[in-house]
Amino acid sequence: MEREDSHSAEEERSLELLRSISEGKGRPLDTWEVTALLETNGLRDVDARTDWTLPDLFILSERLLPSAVRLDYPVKETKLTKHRFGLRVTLNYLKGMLFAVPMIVQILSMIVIGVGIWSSINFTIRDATIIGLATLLALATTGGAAQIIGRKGLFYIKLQETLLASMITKRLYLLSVSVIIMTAFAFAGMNLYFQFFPFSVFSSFILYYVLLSLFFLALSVFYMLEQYGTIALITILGIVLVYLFYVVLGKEIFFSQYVSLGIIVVLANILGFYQMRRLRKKAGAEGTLLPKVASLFYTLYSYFAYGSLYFLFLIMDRMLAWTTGKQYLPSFIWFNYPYEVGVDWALIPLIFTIALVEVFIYELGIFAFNRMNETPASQQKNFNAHFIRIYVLGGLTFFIVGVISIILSYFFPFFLSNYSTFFQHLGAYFNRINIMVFFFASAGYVLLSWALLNCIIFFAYSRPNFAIKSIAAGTFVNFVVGYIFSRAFDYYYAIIGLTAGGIVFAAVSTYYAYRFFRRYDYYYYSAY
Amino acid sequence: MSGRLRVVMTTEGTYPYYAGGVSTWADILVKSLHEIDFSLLPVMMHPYISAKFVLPPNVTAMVNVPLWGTEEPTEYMPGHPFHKIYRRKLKTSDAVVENEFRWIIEMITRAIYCETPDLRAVGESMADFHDFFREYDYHTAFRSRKLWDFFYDMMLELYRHQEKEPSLYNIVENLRWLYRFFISLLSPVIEADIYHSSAAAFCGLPCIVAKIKRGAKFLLTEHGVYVREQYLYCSRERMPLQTKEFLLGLIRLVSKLNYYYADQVSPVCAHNMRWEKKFGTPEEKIRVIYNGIDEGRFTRMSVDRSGRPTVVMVARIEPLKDIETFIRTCALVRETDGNVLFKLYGPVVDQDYYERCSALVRDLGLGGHFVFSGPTASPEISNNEGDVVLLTSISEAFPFAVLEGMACEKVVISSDVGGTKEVLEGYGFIVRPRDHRAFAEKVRYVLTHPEEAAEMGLEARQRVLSGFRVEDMVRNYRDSYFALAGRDGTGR
Repeated sequence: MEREDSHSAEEERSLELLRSISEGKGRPLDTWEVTALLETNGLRDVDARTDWTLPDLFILSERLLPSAVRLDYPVKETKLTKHRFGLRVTLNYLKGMLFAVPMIVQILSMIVIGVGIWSSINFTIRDATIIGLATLLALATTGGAAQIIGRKGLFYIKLQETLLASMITKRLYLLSVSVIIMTAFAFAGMNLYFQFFPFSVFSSFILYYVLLSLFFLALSVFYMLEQYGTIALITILGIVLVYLFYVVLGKEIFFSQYVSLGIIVVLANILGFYQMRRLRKKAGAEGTLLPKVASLFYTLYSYFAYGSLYFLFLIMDRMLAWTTGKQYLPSFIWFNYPYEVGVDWALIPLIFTIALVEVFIYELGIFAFNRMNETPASQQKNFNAHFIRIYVLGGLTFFIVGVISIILSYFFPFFLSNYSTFFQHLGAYFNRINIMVFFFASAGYVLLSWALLNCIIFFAYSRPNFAIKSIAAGTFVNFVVGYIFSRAFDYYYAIIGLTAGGIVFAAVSTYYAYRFFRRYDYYYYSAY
Repeated sequence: MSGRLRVVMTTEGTYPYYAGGVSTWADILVKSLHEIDFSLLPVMMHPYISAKFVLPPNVTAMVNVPLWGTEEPTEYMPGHPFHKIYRRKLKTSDAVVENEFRWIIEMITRAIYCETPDLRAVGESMADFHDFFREYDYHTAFRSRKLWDFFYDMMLELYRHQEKEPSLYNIVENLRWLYRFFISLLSPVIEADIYHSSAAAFCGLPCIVAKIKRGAKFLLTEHGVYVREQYLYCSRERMPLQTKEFLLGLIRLVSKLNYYYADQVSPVCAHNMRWEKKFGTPEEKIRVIYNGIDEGRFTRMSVDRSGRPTVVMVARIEPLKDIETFIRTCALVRETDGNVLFKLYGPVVDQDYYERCSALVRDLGLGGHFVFSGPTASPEISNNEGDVVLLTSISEAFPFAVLEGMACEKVVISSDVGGTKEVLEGYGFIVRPRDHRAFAEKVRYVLTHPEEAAEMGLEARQRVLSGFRVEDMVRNYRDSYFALAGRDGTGR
């Protein structure tokens, strides 16, 4: 009995010592950890000898370790977010919609005041053709550049290497500016030789092209910095300036838009350079050495290719529609109002589905991390199956939101024209052609936003090849189907190319996404 | 063998990119041994750090080894031009990974979970690892699905008989750790006589490869005990057991490999030998080389003093320095000496702890007797402001603060931690850690026996001069380098 008592007293003493040295720490793994804890609590071998009659702390730790099972050691909680699910979804959905604010502002300004930064309801077909062509070329030239600026700049910002973020952004920005200038010269040379347009028309085209390219490029810096508010403000300022010059001061529309674009390009550049300066001056960043050019090229080319293909996909149907020569075209390419109204109208459902991308990506990050931590290793298949279910649920959500937003968007302009005399003229814009274009384009855009979600997942998990293969297939089908239909039937059948391209883009990327989630454990591991 | 001796010094998170004790030590060594050519191989967190030291001309090469922060692991490492990386990428297939690489990962992983791994075999597999990636691409091989599936199955098998299996995330994290930490094996093997690692850590792996492949001699210096520090880190971070099992198993394995392959293990004090011996280092391999201080800088000097009996401590404000014991000692001494002043020099590294200490000063009513004097760039002046120098740490290796106080002819009272006893015993006072009563008793004694204190101070300085100067440390390393290289120090 006495021996038992002394044994239990000894145990209590061990427990007490272990508790005191490991309080606020993790559960000790082994005797090495207990020894280290004893030492950092000021205990010495001599204390083990005098107080415990044991040779040293290493042996004392053997005595203490078994008591660890009697103590509670909470593991450090890794919280990925401070918000609840509902709030997170709402905030991210709104954030996703912020992407579309400049687009919404432009559409609204066209409806309300009849002008935008590079659009006007009073444009002649010739004017619209010039500007439309300049816009498409600007998007095609800057699409790849915007992707790589976003990718590499953000890479360094996440590492808190703001100096390098600023350096690489400036370098890629200047490189893109030189590409824009070279493209402008190349087009000038071609026009000189082939005489596509008369000089006066071509000069407007090239001026719009350069200004719009610089504008899109400058905005890519703010997209990288996630300053969507700045982008919206710059866009609104551009519209206000056009309104001021064109409506208030009565200047010519081209002049008003050149000057306004020029001002906002300068302003965006000043702000952009200020932001870069701010990044450079942030304390803590020390890195000044960028990787070698070959290495940079290797890590960025896929992003460039994807960005370029993406914008090519977006402009393909218009290019095909505008160049369909079934009826007389004053030039090889000719803008078409009903078609443009149809595709712009279809941007409304896109806003609602593209905002879902932000929600899904964010939630996937949280769900995956938590689930991975909770899932016992042997349950790998269950883990993957769980995420296939989540993916399918995501697909259904996209489908439902897509269908509802297409229906609502269809009735939206008619609702507006009935609701207020202010919008009464809207109905005049809608006819059989643009209604058909609207439906095909909306379906294409909803599918596009789903495919974009897939591609963002691929990029987030360092699988750019899946994204490139998907968009390349989509763009190819977009071109082939659009070309055949527009040439076989009429110009506006080019929109079927966009829908078919959207179907293929969505289908191929879904195929890869399915492969991805079927082995999500592996792709999660290898996302570096 | 003739010509200048060539030493590759490998560091981890220290020289020349970070300031601190180990970096200062390395800088002194490299700058003092100008007859030796040094190449530096710093293993660093990421490549975006600027050097904190100006390198002398005898540093002939530098191979940075960043573990994180790169898209291509070797994009910042010399000896890996991109066309070679690209060619390696094209050559690296699942079949190559399965046939030539998988077994290396198996060998290492099994050794991580083994109490007594075959260190020779594991070391040789590290050399094979290095060779494999002269031919094939690191990033592609580690991202191979074959490798992941194999590793996953192996982990399940290793845990088959365990009570609790790891989470899926544990397995992901484990293979990612191997990917990151073993980037240290990708550095080119520089031609040299000696490879000198400043820790029994991942920076020792290139030394092992150089020893196996080129027959270079391997000298290992241990300032703290790396494995012990990592245990404490994981403990503080409250990591789950399964995470610790792998991570600390890996660190134990790497430390053991360092000890096994090192030709000489040089801790900075005999106290650290306890861990080294427990980790299998034969005693005959161990040669303690104490750190040294600049005895010209740390000397008795007249400085502005308050005129009050003053007790000084130079220490960072963090729990391991046990500032609370210093404060409680002040409270006790003040009871008998109402004029006493305790001054603490050092930066705040733990804000919460600093606030706790400030509160204790207030609670004990020590205003006017206790001063937080802030960081000092001149510890020699700070020490000379005191009649007594204290160190209340509860954990140390071989504290410079003790040597510096002694060199300034002060009576040093220190807690009995690390290797303090090895220099202070008989030349100052050693008390049990956290024992503020014992500290107070010794302080009172010194303050009331000024003549004896002055004599002790003189003896303390003599003790430092007898083997704890920079000069002694440099000479010891120089001797070790030449002895290991089989040269007599005259270039023959």
